[in-house]
Amino acid sequence: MKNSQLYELQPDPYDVTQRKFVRFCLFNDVKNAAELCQLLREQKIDAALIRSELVLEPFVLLAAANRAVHQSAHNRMSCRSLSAELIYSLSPSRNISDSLVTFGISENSTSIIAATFDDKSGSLMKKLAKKIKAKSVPFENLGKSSNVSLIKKVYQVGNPSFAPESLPDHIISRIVSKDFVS
Amino acid sequence: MSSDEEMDEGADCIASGFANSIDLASLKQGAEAKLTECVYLGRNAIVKERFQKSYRHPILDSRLNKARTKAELRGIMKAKDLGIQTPAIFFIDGEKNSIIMERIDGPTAKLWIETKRSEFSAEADNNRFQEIIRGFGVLLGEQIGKLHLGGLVHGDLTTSNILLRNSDENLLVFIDFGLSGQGKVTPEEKGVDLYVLERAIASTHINSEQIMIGVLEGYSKASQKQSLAVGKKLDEIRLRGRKRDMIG
Amino acid sequence: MSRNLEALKLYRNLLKYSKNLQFSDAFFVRRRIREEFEKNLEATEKRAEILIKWGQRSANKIGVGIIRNGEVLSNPRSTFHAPPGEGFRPTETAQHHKQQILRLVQEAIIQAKITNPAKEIDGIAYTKGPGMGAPLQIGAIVARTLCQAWSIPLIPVNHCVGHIEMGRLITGADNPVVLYVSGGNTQVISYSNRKYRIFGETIDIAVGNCLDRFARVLKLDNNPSPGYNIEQLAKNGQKLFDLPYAVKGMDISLSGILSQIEKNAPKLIENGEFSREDLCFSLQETVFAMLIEITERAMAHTGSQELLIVGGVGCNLRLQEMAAAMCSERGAHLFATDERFCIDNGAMIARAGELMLASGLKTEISKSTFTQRYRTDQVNVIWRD
Repeated sequence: MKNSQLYELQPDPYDVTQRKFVRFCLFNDVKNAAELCQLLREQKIDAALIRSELVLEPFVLLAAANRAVHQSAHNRMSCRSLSAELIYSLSPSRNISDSLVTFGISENSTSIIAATFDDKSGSLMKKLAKKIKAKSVPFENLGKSSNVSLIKKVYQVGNPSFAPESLPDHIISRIVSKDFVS
Repeated sequence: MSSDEEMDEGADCIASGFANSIDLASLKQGAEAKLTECVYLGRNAIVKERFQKSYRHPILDSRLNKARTKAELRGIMKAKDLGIQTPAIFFIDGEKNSIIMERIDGPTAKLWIETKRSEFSAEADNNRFQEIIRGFGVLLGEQIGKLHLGGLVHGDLTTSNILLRNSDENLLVFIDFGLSGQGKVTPEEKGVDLYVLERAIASTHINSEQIMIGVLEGYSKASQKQSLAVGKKLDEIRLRGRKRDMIG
Repeated sequence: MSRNLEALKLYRNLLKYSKNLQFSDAFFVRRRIREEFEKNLEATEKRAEILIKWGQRSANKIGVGIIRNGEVLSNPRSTFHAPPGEGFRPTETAQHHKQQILRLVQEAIIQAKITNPAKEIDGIAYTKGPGMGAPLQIGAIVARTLCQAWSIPLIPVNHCVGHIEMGRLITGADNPVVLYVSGGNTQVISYSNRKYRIFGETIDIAVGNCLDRFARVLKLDNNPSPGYNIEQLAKNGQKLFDLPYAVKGMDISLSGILSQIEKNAPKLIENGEFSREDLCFSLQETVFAMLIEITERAMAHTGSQELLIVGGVGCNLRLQEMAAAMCSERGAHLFATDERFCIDNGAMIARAGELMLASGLKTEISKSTFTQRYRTDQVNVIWRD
C-alpha cells in the first residue's frame, strides 16, 4: 500500500529459518479517533494503532516489534494479541493497561502509526486504511510529529546528568530490559 | 522525497537499512560468555550469550547464568540513570541468557593505555606517559565514585571492562555488569570493587601505579565522605591480602 | 671406604658446624644428629657429579627431595596428622618435623644413592616461605647446618614457586596459567615479565582450609587428608544445597560459603534433608566452579591455552574433571599432576632451587631468613624469559 513500509523481523535474531513481517503506516490529521477506539474495543481491527507523538524513530518501533514477535514465538506474550503486545512493548512500564492507554490511540489522537503483522502484500493495511479517516504520509515523516519532552517524561529520562548517548538508545534499553530490571 | 510511483514500488519491498546479520568468525569466548559481532536492525551490535558451562552442575549453572544476565541488565540500566555511559540494550532472550547490545566504537582502556605506552616509550617521555595514565585514572575514578555514590558496585572492574568511545578518555563506557550489585551497598563492597580494579591493573599493566593513584584522586571528587570511608576499607582489604599468606 | 665411615664423617662435620650456627637451634640439631647417627644408616652405591638440592616444607608436611637436571632421585616425605575433628597446630607440627627431618635427609640421600654429599650435592634449597613460622624454622635450621657442613650454596625458595616449577617440569607445560590450590593458598597465577603474577586469589580463606574446616564439622578423619575424605563422600552426593557463589572480579571469597554450610549442616543432616555426602558434593561443586571460573577468566585475559593445576587440592579428581571440561570448551590443554607432586614435597623445592642456582641465585647464611608472608609475585623469576 502506498506510503506504508514493510520490515522483516527475526523473532529469534540470527535464526534465519524464522521470519516475521511487520508493516507500518503513518497517518496524520486523523478525524475519527473515537470511532477507531470503538472498533478496537469491539476487536474489529486486527492491527496496532499507536500514538505517533510518543515514537521517536523507526528503530525504536522495530526493536519493540522484535520484542513482541519474540515473545509471541515463545508463547510468552503478556497481552492477548500480537498487536497489543507491540503497543505494550513500546512502554517502559510493566503495567499492561497503563501501557496500552499511554501508547495506544486515544479518542483525541490526530496522528497515529498503524502496524500490521504478516502483511507482506499490504492487503491488511489497505483494508485498514479504509477505516481510518486520515491522510497517510510517507513513513520517513515519522519523528516529525513526536513530542520529545513528553517522550522524556514517559521514559523517565529527566536526569540532568543523563549520559550523552542518543535518546532512542536509552528508550530501547528501557523497553527491552523492563521484564528483567523491575 | 520520492515520487508516488516509487513509493508504491517500495511499499512491497522490505525497507533497507534495518537488516540483521551476524559475523560468526568474530566469536570470542570470554570466561563467562560468548561474544559475537553482529548488526541488529541496521545497528552495529554484539551478541553476548551466557552459554551453558559443562563443568558446572546444571542447576548451579542455570541459576548463575540467569542471575548474571539479570545483574548485567540491572547494572547497565542503573548506571544509565546515574549518568554513567553503558551500552544500549537492543534485545534480550531470557531463556538463552543472551543480550544483544550496542557495539561501542573505541578501544578498551587496556589497549588504550598500552598504545599510549608505546607512543611514549622513549625514556624522555616516561614522565609524560605517567601524567597521561594518571589523568586517565582521575577520569575513571570520578565515574566509579559516581557509580558507588548511586549505590551500584560493578563487581568486575578491569581495564578490559572499560571502553573509550571514539578513543576519547572523557567518554568512558562501562561494560560487563554481570557481577554487579546494588541496593544497600556497604563501604566494604565498594572497597572490594576498588581492590579488584587495583589488582587487575597490577596484573595487566607494568609500571602503572599512577593509574590507581589517579583513580583514588578522582574517586574523592564524587564524594569526600564516601571516599574517606571506602579508602579506610580499601586499606583493610589490602592488609588482609598480605596477611593471607601466613600459612603455606 | 665403607658406607658407615662415610656417614660417620658426615655427622662429625655436621656436629662441628652446628656449634657455630648463629640462627639455629644448635642444641637441638646436635642432639638429633647424634641420635640419628647412633641408629646408623645404610646405603650402597656411589655416584658422582650430581646437581642436587633438597628442601622441606612449611605446614603439616615435611619432605626432602634430591633432584638432578630435572630428574627426581628421591623425594621422601612425612605428614603430621592431627586427631579427627582438629586442625594441626604450629607447635605440634614443628615437633613432628623435628622428629622426622633428619630421618628424611638420610632417606633421601640413601635413595638417591649418594655417598659423598659434600662432593655430589651442589646446593641446598629450603623453603623461605610462606608458611607457619615454627615448621619453616626447622627447615631453615637444617638447611643452614647442611650447607655449612658440606660447604655448598644455600638457596631460599618460595613455596608457591616450587609448586609451579615442579608442575612445569613434570607436565612439560610451557607457559601455563597456574591454578594453585592448597590448604593455605588459592591463587591463579600467570607468568609475565619475570614475575609470577597473581591474577586471582581468595580474598579470605584458602580452598583447602575451607574443605578441611568442613571436614572437621563432619568429624572426618584427617588421614590421609580431610580433603581426600570429603572427595570420597562427595562421589556419592547427589542433591545440590544452595550455597552463596562469591566471585568478585578475578577473586573469590570462601568464608561466606563456609559459615553458611557450617551453620546449616548439623540441622540438614539431622532432619534428613541432605546427607553428609550431599553436603560434601554441594561444597565441592560450588567452590570448584568458582575456582574454575576465575581460572578461565585468567586464561581468557592472557590468551593462554595451557592450564596447570598444582597444590594439594589439585589432586582432587572432581576439580581436575571440571578443569578438563573447561579447557576442552576453550580448546586448551590441562596439565595436572598426581598426589606425588601435587602435594607439598621436597623435590619441588629442590627443582626451584636447581633453576635458581643455575642462574646464580643463592644466599649467605647470615641472610638466610624465613618468612611467614612471602607472596608469589615478590620473587624475581630471572631463570625464565
